[in-house]
Amino acid sequence: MLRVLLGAALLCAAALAVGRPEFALRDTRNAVHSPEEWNGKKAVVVFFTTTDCPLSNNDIPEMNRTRRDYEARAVAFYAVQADTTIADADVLQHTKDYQFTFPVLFDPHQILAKMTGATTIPSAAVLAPDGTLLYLGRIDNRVEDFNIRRSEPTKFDLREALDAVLAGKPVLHPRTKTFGCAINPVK
Amino acid sequence: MKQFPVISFSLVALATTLGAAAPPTFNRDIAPILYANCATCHRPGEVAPFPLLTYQDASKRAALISGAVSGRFMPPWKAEPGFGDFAGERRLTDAQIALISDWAKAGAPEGDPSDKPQPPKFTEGWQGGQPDQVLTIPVKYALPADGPDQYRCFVLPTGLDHDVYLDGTEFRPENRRIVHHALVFLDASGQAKKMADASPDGSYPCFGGPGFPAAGLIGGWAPGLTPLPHDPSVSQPIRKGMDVVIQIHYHPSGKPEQDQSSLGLSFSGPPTKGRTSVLLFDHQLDIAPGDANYVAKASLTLPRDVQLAGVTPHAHYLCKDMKVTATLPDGSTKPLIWIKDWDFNWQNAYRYRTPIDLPKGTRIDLVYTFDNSENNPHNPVHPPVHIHWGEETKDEMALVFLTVLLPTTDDTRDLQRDVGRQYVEQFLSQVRTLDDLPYEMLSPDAVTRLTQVFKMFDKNSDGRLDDGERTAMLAFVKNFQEHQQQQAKP
Repeated sequence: MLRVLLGAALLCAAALAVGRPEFALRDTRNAVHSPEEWNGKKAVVVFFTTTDCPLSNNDIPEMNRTRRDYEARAVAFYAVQADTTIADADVLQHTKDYQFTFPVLFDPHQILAKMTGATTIPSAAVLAPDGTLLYLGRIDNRVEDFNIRRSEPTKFDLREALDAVLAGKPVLHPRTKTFGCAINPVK
Repeated sequence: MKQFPVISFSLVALATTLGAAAPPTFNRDIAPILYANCATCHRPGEVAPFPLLTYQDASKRAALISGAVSGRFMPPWKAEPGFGDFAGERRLTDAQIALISDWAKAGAPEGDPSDKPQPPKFTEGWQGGQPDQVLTIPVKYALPADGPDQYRCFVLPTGLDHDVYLDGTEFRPENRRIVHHALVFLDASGQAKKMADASPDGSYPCFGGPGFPAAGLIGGWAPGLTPLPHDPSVSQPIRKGMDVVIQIHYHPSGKPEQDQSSLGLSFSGPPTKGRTSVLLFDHQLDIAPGDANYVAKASLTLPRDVQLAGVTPHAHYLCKDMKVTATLPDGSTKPLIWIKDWDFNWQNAYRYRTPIDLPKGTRIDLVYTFDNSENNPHNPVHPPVHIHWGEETKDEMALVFLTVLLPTTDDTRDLQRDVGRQYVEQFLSQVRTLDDLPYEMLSPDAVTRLTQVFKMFDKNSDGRLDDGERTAMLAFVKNFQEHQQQQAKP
């Protein structure tokens, strides 16, 4: 029943393209999060992660640093466990091991992936508090392909997008190419 | 009931038709490829970041697997086919790659459970049997969650009170999430211990080499590499008092990690054959910023008949293409190795399936190409700067280790002496100031001798050799070496 309601809400949001998406998602600490939390924020960052994707794990320190640098500027941060086949206990352990400093949401029906159109782990979406998608793509250019890897990134795409949003400017590159593990749709 | 045979017939026909166009399945087509080529590393507890044993493991990564094998990024094997016939080659066939790609495109079907092969069985623990002595990093090494890769040297005293002969080594990474590869050196100079003592955790950073002239390279490890079978005929001496130094390349995992890897040593009697590494290198690197096509070259003429058992090319991040070729005295050429997309992270010691006979007078040519442009994602410096020879991350190298076999250990000594003479002539023909000498490649004795010769011919003591001074020096050295050779003859 809940799934039907959420699905309907999502359809409404998509069809009308107005109003904020409605959802209530549990995090690894059992706290429930909904878009109500976005009130008063200037932007919302959603990272798509999973426990066993090395490219995603390598990016977690930069995710944490981005939160550290932008949270005080009214940006909300979430990670979403984007592979729905991983056991909750493994996700919980992973959240502790990799020291996430923001909520890691379970999203068994992939509401956030569908809402943003995210297809890759890792990737980042930046939303306006009303749910408008402002940026979707890579976090930085450290790994662009199997054989295009840098020891340090030279371009920080997510930070550039956030800087633009916080300055009230349009995001120069609102979509960037991602590389990593696939977000497989729930069967 | 009457119609049964007809239905049955048409079902068979249908199945046959479908069979022709049916997509590959995991159980029938993909599992055998993964088990034979990937599972050595891609299994629980091993070095690869995820297992590829079950349908669930593989199907959710179908697109990633397809991309990795189609670009031949996996399995990691950099040597081009047709340029050296190597043992333990890890290369998928075009047909295998097509199967994986078709399977991923078809949505990664699982297939009939009865088609599924048994998962492979692997040896647990030491792959080459229990070693005679195990050396372990004394304290756990702590690696931060992220940042650049680290290259760390750990000094492991052998504690041996007598000389021993080593017929095999096996490196065992402890934390397989972060250990990327390892090289094992011998230090007779005590320098490694000094560098480690000066560091709070008993190890020291070392990128391109161990930071001292090694008395031997006795082992190495990279993902997927199985240890060489023990071979007492080419055992290597460890003199008492020597230290074992392990250089480990660590790749951060995203969370703070620790490692305490080990090395197993197997002992035997003295060698009955000769085996040694001949170095070929161009140390006069001068790569301008922005130069996307810098070519380094070096040549060496073999002073006697050898059998070439293996080849280990080495460079740092800027190198993109490596070719080593042998030209025999009859003018015919033999490709020894070609790597088209060198990746520092996937270096390997390549061993020929059958050693190659190279007669005296064979010329070995090294030709490496470097990309020092901003477009090279591996370039560690932004914006690019002038790059020279050196051991640091931001320096470059252009060298190859040639593992050669000779009838006796005396032959290896003679070979190294003769090759050493060629080096000396080469160095001195290029040297302008003492800074030009490739210090990392020279023993302290050689440095002393070369410095003495240099000073003797630097008549005006300005620290530079002009053309006249260098010509005089070369003539002297050539004369001296020929004289030595005469003396050495029985």
